[in-house]
Amino acid sequence: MTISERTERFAGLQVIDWKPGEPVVHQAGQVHRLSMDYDDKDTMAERLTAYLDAADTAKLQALVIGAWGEAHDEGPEPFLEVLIERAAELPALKALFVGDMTYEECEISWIIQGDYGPLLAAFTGLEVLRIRGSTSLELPAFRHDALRELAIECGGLPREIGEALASSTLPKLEALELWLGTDDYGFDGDVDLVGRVVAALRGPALKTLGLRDAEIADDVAKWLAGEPWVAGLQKLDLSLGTLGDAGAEALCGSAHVARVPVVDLSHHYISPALQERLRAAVPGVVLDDAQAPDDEDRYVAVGE
Amino acid sequence: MRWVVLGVAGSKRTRGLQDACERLGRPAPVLVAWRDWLRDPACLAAALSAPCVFKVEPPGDDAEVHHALVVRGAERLGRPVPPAAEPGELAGTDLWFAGFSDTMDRLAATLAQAPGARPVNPPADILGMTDKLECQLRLQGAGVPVPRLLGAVTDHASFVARLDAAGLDRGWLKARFGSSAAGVVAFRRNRRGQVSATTSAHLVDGGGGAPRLFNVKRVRSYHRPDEVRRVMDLVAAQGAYAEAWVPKPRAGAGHFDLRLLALRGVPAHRVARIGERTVTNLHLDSRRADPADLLDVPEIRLAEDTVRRAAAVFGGSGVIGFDLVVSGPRAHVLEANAFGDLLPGLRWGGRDAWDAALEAA
Repeated sequence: MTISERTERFAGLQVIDWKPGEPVVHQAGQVHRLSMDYDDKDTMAERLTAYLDAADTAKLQALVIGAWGEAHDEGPEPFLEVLIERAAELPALKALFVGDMTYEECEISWIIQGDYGPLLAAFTGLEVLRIRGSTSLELPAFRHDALRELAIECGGLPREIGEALASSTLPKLEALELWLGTDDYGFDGDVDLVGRVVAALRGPALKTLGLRDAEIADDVAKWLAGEPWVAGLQKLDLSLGTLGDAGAEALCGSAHVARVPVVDLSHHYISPALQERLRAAVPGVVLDDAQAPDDEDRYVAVGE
Repeated sequence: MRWVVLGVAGSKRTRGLQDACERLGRPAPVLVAWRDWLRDPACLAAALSAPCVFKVEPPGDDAEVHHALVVRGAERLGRPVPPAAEPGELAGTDLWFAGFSDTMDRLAATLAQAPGARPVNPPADILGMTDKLECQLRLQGAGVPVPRLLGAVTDHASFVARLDAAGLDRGWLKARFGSSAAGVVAFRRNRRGQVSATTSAHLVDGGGGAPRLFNVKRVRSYHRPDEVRRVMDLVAAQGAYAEAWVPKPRAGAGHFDLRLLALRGVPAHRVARIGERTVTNLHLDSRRADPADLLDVPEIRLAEDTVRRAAAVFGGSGVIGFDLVVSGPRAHVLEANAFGDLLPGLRWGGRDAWDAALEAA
């Protein structure tokens, strides 16, 4: 496929849509996405089964699951069950994205997610897991010895998910990305809980920390500014949130943050004067997509 | 050939055509302003008495003309005249269309007396495309793929009843009269009882009175059931129809459709419009892209073939802007726009839409 505008990436791979009836050809550097149109009549479990039947499963390294038809009403369990049942056939599966849906396909807060405990137990070699949507999302406190990247994208991260993560152990974790969201869409945690999650999951391998789309971005920034371990990160990502001058002021004054090569604050509400100070104090700062509030309200980039 | 334009002085469309004439070394077009014509019908008849190409531009850029058409429509329908709409307000589009129909009827009569005037788009076609439900029915009748039509609706409740009858949980409510994305609402619901309405029509508190609807250059979504109902009631009260949701192909985090211009029935200028909020009109934060970067050759050909067939339905018209969704084995026509040639900067065959229209006429 040479269609440049449509190229997307997951886990360092180029995402290619796979449609039923097509052969499954594994090309280096590519990952297939299984995605249903609104008017498709089959189920994702059937489509996934057909895909796995046609694939060289022993070599399958990565998979993206997009819209599963009625994701606004039905959870992913039926097709997650297919994966779990065939886990033994999928020894190489290292990267999985469940819920790669756009706003047109399903509003993020309407995506019905499910229980990822059985999947994590079945795929002990999984290294990258990205989940979009937090409605009905369940995650037990878990230990996983292979997971390098964990990402949960949502408009509001429920407290139970935070608590489960705060009691989990991921010794190989290199990148943690959590979209905290807003209380309008299910966020009912606080910076204390976020701190406990990071404390639990922050091992020597952690290089990338994303606490994105947060309406508590200022609180998160103030807390991070005082944490010495932040200096060891390669990337700190507080983008998509409502970061304003209070958080920016704290980041400006942090010698730890100043040492992080990339500090992404895109989609922010920071005043021009403080943006200037940030650029001087934090060489790696990225300040794209400045928001201009027409009143006092600030909004995260992704909510509904 | 001399051009006569029924338009609005100083508008982007008028200036674009004037600039093109200058570039191509042609005589400046003769502008007859809508407001002058409504006051004095003879001025247009005089301009059309000598051989010319005659183009009608939309009257919407002139608020005074807009209201004059609403008044004329109210008289024609025997309904009370509402207060003048504020800039951007979506109100009385059914009255506006009745008034606009009246002017197009008069224009047809004037043209019948002006054999030397060759209209770019004849008044009957302009009317046929400006009534969007009528237009979709005509295209459908001619075998051109359009999204499944669920029928005319009068309010939110009748829209939902149409969805229920069709067994759907999403659909579009579209204002019957008007252009661009004004009065278009993407509606969704789920089994938990949640609803959403994504639209550029925003509810504005009328200050003590009933809320009013304004077309804003930013797409937003309503989720509170009372607001969803109110937005849809206000759109539907002016005449609207329900249409099934045709999935647009994906590009990154967004989805896209195409605007493809037919000049004398031949597919010409084209642009893809990538939007992240479902509604993809270019003036609503959508991103322009080259269709060749998004679609493969057979898909482009499919779009062109569909445009040829759709343009033949309005065979007397020289300039039509079609909006299409190319997805799988079909290209669906979302809309035909008799004024769909405002595409500044977009080139095809080295010419922008104005230059090309001048040369095609």
